[in-house]
Amino acid sequence: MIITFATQKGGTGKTTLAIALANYISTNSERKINVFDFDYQKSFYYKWKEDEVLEIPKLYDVEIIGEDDGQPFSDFDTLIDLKESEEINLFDLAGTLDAKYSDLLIYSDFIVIPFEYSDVSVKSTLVFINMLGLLESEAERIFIRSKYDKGYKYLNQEAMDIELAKYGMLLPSPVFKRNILQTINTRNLAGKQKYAVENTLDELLKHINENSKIKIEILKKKEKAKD
Amino acid sequence: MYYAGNILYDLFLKKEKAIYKEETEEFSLSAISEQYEALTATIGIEDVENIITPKSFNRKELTPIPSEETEERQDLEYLRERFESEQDLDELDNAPKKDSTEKENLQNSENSESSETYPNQKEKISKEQEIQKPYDVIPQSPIIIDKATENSRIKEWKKMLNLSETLVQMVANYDGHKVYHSTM
Repeated sequence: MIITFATQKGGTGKTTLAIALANYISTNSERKINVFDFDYQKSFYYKWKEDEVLEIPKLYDVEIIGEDDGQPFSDFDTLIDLKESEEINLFDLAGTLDAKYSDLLIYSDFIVIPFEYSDVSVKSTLVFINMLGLLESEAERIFIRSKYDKGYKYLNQEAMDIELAKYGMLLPSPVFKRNILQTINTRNLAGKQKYAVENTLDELLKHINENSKIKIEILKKKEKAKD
Repeated sequence: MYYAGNILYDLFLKKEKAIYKEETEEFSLSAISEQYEALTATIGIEDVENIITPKSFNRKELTPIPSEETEERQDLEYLRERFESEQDLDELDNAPKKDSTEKENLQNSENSESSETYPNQKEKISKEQEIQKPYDVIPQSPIIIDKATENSRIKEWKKMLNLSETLVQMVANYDGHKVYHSTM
């Protein structure tokens, strides 16, 4: 299965949410996850390398997809193998859309699109939706309200939610703006960090399970039940 | 008389023969080989290998060749164009074209030849072009194809991005909070 984190604009919390999801699945599910950093900045990969100093064992491997490769999935079979794999292959893309993302955007199972209600973010989110449409992408679109401020009234929210819901699943729970997420690492999901993303990620995994043959069972529910 | 004859024979004829023999000995192969033995012995394989060939020789030799080739190509191209244009003119009317002295000369040479020579000339030109083409195209073709496909891919991608952007319209503005719709 391929889950891709992508937007047409940087700074919406793509990498943070990708790390959170990778950590969440790794710590709460038996399903293996492989991470591919497809961003020029390689934020995910560098973070993962930095975390090697931590005493906590690594949860997953992060591979970078080189810029020199040109067309990284020119070997089409590799992409299809990743798509048909029982393992979760999570891709983190850059904030700008590049031609070399085309195959991945077409053949991803799920594309997770974090967005904000700012003018630039909502507009670029719709541009990205159009782009996926033009590419005839098979992927299921999932929208996540990112860096959401509880105490602020977003006047365009209602109308934008209606519009976005036409093109995919808009998760009910937003990821609130929390400073604790700025110190996220790739080795664990600390208590408050987990709390900040838990509801949203549960909704995300529920939606994935409903729309995919491969199920991501979350073990924590059993633990809670035991308690 | 006999002895006198013998003496005379020995004195004159026998000497001549002896002189003749000596002369032949001087031209024998062994004498020649001995004469040049010292010279041939001094040249070994190392000497042959160490022969200094001036590098400038190649440079001076090679540069005129392509220039000559290009000149030939230009001539061939020129001749081909001329041939085609003249053929077109011949088809329209049989009036020959006369411009410069150079053209006249060429025309005369061509006109003097029978019409059967035109196909031959054309064949020659086409053959020359076929020979030229592989040299020009083959070494560059793999790079050109890759770049061309990559460029067309990027162009297509940019086109789609531009289209994606134009298909987004602002439909409402709530005190600076804008609402956009996709018009796809």
